[in-house]
Amino acid sequence: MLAKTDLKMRYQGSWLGAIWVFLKPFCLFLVLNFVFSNLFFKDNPTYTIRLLVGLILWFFFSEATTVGMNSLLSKSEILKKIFIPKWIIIISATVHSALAFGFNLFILFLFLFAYNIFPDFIDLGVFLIYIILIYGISVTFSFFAAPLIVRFRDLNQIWEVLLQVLFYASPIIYPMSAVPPNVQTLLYLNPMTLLIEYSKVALIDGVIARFDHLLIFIAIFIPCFLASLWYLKSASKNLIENM
Amino acid sequence: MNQDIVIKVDHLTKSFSIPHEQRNTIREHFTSFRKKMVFETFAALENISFEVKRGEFFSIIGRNGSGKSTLLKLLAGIYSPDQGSVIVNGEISPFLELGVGFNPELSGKDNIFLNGTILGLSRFELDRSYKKIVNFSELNRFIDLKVKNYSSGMMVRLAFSVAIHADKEILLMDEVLAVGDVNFQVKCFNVFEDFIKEGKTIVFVSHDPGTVQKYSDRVLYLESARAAFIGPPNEALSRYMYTDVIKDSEKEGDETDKVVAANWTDTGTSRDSALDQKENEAEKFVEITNVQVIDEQGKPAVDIIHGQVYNIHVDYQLSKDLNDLIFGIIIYDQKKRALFTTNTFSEKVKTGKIKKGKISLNYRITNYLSSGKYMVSATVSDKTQRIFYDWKDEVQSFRVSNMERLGRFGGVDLPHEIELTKIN
Repeated sequence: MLAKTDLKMRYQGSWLGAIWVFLKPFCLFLVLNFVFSNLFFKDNPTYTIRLLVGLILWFFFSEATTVGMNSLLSKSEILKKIFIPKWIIIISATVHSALAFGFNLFILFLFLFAYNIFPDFIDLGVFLIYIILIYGISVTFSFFAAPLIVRFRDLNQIWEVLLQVLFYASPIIYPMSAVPPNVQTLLYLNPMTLLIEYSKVALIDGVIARFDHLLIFIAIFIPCFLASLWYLKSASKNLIENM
Repeated sequence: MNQDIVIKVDHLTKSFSIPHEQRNTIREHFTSFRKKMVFETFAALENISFEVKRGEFFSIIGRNGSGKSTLLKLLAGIYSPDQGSVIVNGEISPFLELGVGFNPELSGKDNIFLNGTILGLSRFELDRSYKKIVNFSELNRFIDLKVKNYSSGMMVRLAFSVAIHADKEILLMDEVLAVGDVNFQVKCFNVFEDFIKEGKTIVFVSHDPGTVQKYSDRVLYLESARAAFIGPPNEALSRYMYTDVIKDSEKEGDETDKVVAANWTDTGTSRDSALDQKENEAEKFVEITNVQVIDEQGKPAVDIIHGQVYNIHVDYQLSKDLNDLIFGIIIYDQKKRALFTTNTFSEKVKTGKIKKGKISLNYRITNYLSSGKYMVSATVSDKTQRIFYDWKDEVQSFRVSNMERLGRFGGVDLPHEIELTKIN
């Protein structure tokens, strides 16, 4: 419900309305596609679609983390007057990003079909796991960041810069194969690298890459998520007083 | 816990630390990490204990900053206690104010659903009670209008309608009825009464002694973070109002010489015309030299009680022989309302010819004012009451404290008797 209002509010009064949800990533997509597919990756026929997969996933992550991080602070007026569990606020803010992602996903599949790519159910299933993991990472991050930003108000600026860095440290505008192997290892420290790269592979090449990597990833993710839950719970205690 | 006790607050303490310098960003922490943070601790609530029973209308009163809102926030679970505990037995409405989360850009209808959701109503419950909510708010015609176009009264009506349909066992209300017209306030209190009949509990915070006295079963009086009194409304309110008076007079103390602009509009005489008259005092032939409030023994009167006789004694100095002067006094309350005026003309005291020199007037008054602080002004004019030779505003003050006549809130405490006749 909160997410629905958020969505309604966000694009209220702008005449393009909900179209903005697609337009923002797709404008960037058109520019990047024009620049890179013509200049650097002419001989890669699937560059455009790979870029699109990467961008959409990236937008999901960057939107969800940014909105999730600011969710508690932006709702401070309500939180001061009424008791709502903090996690509900954070989740409802990120759900909004997930909805926007859903729209974009729809467009993505139109593109895939236009390129004559029809992923099978197993590929889609794996892709779904990656999406859930991206959402999970975003929520985990938000659980940590949302209480922290109350104390450190410039966290959003720092995160904006970090997002830029992470954007270039993810195989979005370039294929992983264009990176020297030792740098590749470095890039895998960025959790988004693995998820974006493997999503591309699953969707476009129809190959399920390294299941063991995925398991390791999940094995690291779960304790992080639990830690974030614990942190949110303990940080909530004296949070409102500092708002 | 006993089933009849719905809220149990046990030795509750809450304090806030106020940093002398705000550090809200990492940059600030980074640039000044060597400096030690200096905090000042401010106790908002100290060692508060009370219980609220099921079906009770429990009010909390106190001056601004006495911790009322903090206490309510602790009850609602928004703040967490530093020491002690708050145990709530039953579903509590988690909100303190009406219309929390109202979105001005959305229609009344959307806001009902939004606000309802925030208050913890499910979609199904909202669908079911939507009609009732709209009808209660009397906003049927405007329900599709954006809330930003609502008047403040309409907004409160809508918010209150949603709030009472939230259907919780315990309601917390913080100054909710400050806005809204009298009719709607009455409607609200009728709802409260119904709630009480249904066995729900209401915790109400207000500044308004009238409402508190009328509806409360018990009152908690908070005075600077401490529970000064818990008990029946009359006694709590008397204590509240009495301490109020004492505090005010302590604060002002010697400042009574200060000439405060009196507000005459209440009495019908415009202040401007009074000022015009004052400007007419061409030459100061008569001067008010001293004004005193004294008791029958001639000592300065402190804490005058009900029915006590006291004297207002005014000394004048004439620099010329004058005929038919009119001397008068005015008694003001703290809101600058003139409660009482008298003069030699209206009381038909013949002044005749007065020779140059000193004269004094004594006004002997029986006190029928209720507890509070009062100010005296003294005047002297010619027989036309157009030329004021002197006019000293609020030159003297006195205090009435009727500790044994608590529970009377009117401005005056008139001598009276009550006779009850039962006709069967």
